[in-house]
Amino acid sequence: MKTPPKVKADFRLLVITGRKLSKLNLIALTKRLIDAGVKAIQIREKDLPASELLRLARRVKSASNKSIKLIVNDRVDIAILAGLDGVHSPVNGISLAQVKQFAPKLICGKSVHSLSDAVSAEKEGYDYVLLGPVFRTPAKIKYGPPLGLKMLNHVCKKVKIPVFAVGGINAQRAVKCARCGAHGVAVIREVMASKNIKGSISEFKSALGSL
Amino acid sequence: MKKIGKLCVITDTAIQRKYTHYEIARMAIKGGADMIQFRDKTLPTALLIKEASKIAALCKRHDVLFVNNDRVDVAMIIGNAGGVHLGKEDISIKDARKLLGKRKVIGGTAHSLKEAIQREKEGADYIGYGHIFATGSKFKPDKPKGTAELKRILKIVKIPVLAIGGIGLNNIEEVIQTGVHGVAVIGSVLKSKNPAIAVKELRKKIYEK
Repeated sequence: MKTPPKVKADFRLLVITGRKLSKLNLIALTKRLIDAGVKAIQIREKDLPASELLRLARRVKSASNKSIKLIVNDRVDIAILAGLDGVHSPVNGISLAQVKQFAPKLICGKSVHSLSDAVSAEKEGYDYVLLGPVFRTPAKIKYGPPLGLKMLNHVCKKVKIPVFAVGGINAQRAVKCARCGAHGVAVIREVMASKNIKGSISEFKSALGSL
Repeated sequence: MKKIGKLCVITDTAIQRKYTHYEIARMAIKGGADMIQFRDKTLPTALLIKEASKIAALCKRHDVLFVNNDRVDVAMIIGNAGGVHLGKEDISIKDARKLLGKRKVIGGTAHSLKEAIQREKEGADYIGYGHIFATGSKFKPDKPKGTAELKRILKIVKIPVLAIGGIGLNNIEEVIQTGVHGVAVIGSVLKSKNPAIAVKELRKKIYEK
């Protein structure tokens, strides 16, 4: 039997969902994101019970197409049942080995807040890391002061796997992150709360060179 | 037919702070519980897996059925899990079965005859039905079902039913007399002075009826 090729982090912009920040429902939003050319979406709706999250993931999947990577936060069971492409492990989330045990082909990302976290994530074998918060963002104030571009640059030099900057990212800042060696950026608010999704995505495309 | 315990203790660290999940499981097994349901609605995944693994291994050593509440992913990951217990807001029994296979135990919650029949149809191995009596362990807007309603369900549903909700030493005989397969307990054990002894006394009522 021919095994499918392993999914890789071949995207530059990872759009993380936050349905409460958006005026659209998540299905309508997904359609807009796809129309705008987005290549990767992370479903992150921590307050949803599993039954609703699964229903949502399945609907997002059927609204989606093969060129989009759909990644779910923390839940390998949902990823498998909805036929998604990956699982993202938050701090204290599921481990890479645990995901691979059941779904070896899934792309796996890890949230990290320091150089040492990033180095261990690479050693464990994660496909990419989300490093943040790089800038100040209302959602992550509880984690202390932002890491800043210098730290981003430092981490990007030390690890070979793709580093996505997260936390307070907009298109202007995405340019700076890319200059510091970031493979790409992850955004929530900037896209979810945007009145012009197509416009926002196209700004990110110019900032990063591609989506 | 899968072997479902007759005395299930649910580990709950929200209604009491004295004992950890593991300590509850240990005391329950010492007292003679033959089924443990690990239930925690707040821990992050990595910590759930860690705690569940420890308790599942303990259960395995004592030949006690371990079921994980809500999270199918956790049950998949820890090798020793006997199965899962799923509520209305969790992944469906049908979907859980796809991931866990035929051999794992899948239990479902029912609050009415209609739901009980539905769980059976979906392929549940047992049903947790309640709440039978008034309970302080969970906020319940609806009235207790009572044992008459339980009896009605037992006539129709063929899979094992575990009665839950407000069951303790004072009323367990009334529940057992319905012919129910077993009971699941929380408060009557965890709020007693000596949980292991509380379990032992409940066990006597079930097995020496």
